[in-house]
Amino acid sequence: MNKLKLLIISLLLIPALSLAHGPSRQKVTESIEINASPDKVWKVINDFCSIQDWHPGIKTCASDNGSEIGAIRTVELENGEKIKEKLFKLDPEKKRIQYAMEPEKGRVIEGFPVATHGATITVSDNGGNSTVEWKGAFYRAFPGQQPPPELSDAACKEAVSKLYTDGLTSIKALAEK
Amino acid sequence: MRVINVIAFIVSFGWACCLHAQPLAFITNQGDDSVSVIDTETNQIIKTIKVGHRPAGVVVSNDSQRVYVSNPESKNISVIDVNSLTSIASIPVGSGPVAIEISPDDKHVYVADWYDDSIYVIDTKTLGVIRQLAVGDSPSGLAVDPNGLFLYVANRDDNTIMIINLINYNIVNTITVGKAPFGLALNQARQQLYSANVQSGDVSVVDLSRQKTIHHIKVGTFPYAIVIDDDRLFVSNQRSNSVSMIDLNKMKTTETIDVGEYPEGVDLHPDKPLLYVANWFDNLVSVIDTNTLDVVDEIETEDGCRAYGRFIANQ
Repeated sequence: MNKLKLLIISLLLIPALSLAHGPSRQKVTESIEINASPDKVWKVINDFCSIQDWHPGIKTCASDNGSEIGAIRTVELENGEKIKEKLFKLDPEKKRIQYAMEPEKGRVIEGFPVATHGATITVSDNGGNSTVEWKGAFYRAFPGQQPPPELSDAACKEAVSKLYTDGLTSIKALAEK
Repeated sequence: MRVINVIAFIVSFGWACCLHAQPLAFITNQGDDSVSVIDTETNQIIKTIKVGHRPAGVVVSNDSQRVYVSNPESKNISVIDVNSLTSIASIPVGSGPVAIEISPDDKHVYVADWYDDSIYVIDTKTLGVIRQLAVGDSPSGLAVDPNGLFLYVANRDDNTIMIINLINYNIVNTITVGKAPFGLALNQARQQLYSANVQSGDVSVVDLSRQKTIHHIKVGTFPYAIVIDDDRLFVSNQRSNSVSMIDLNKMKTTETIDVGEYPEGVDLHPDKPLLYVANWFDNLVSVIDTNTLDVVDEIETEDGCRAYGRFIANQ
């Protein structure tokens, strides 16, 4: 009986092990108006690891190669989970940072259940003040077809949206100081 | 009764001829559960057709009479009639249908299922699944040869291409390509198959006579779909927001064209030198002049346009 149970459980696990993520990519865009110049706002965020200083949800950050293209930073969430992210673009002219999660097949991060998350933060001029936009694309990390509510597409969207809005609110506070 | 039928035929034929004088493009909108129909003469959307949940893949039949759309979240295929521009059927298929192809004689539709690691074969007459073929891990891209003898499958999480004999449905060979192959394109004249490899950021060139990978051509970040234009390939790069142009005589990327965010599906106009690119993040289709490589038009769609597959009708 136990053997049979084990067999059934392992059979159920097979699809979960073989898949990277759910089938439909999702997107989130958040933005904020800041009463400070784009240059001032850019200075808050222009270092790849400055996210540890300006994002309330990120405890620590370590980059293997500063803010060079291709650098990989390891950010630590408040719950201790660590995420590796690669820098694709850091453009001081356009005031834009683009980065993405390093692929980790099958991993479901506690408190941030998304996979293949890639995002772009852009600071643009808004009549002398700034608009900061943070947008990204991702999949739910849960690989099977019926995710529990806390790992669902909706939960992922909420987690990403919260990451962005918490960050933007904090950037605003720092830049307007 | 007969006369009425004949009249009905003439009327509907007349409508079909004059309503859609130009090839139509069928753009799947993931976020809107719909397909935007573009008249390529005016580049205007002439209709939006509701389909299943989160549509992704699309293929227009070779006779331009039908469009098949894969809906991974409702686990079915929507069938669109091109004359009436309505969805006329939905075919339940597997657990996560994404890539979709059709045989040159339009008799069979092939669907790659992301969850079932299988290809489903649909009979287009009965609209039923007639076969399930086990393939590799997370099949994501399909191509069929013009003689209808072989089906090529990209197994995203195995880094391989499988070749399936369509007469007896046996797997003939499995060939290793770059990391995470997604979109495929078959070049019959050169006897080459190309795969866009999402994670290695390159295009693998498979020599079909030798049955091996002979080149890896660097493109942008997260290459997704490929279309062949004579001696050139156009490849969408999701995370570079660009389309790479590969010169097949030089076997390298010679141009990069900026488009919208997260470009996915790419397809060529059958008569004019125009490339259509669906930009998923921007809900925008970019139209590129393939001679000048300029973006000459942009068409707004509904949320999350993907158009993964051959989405422009031949006529």
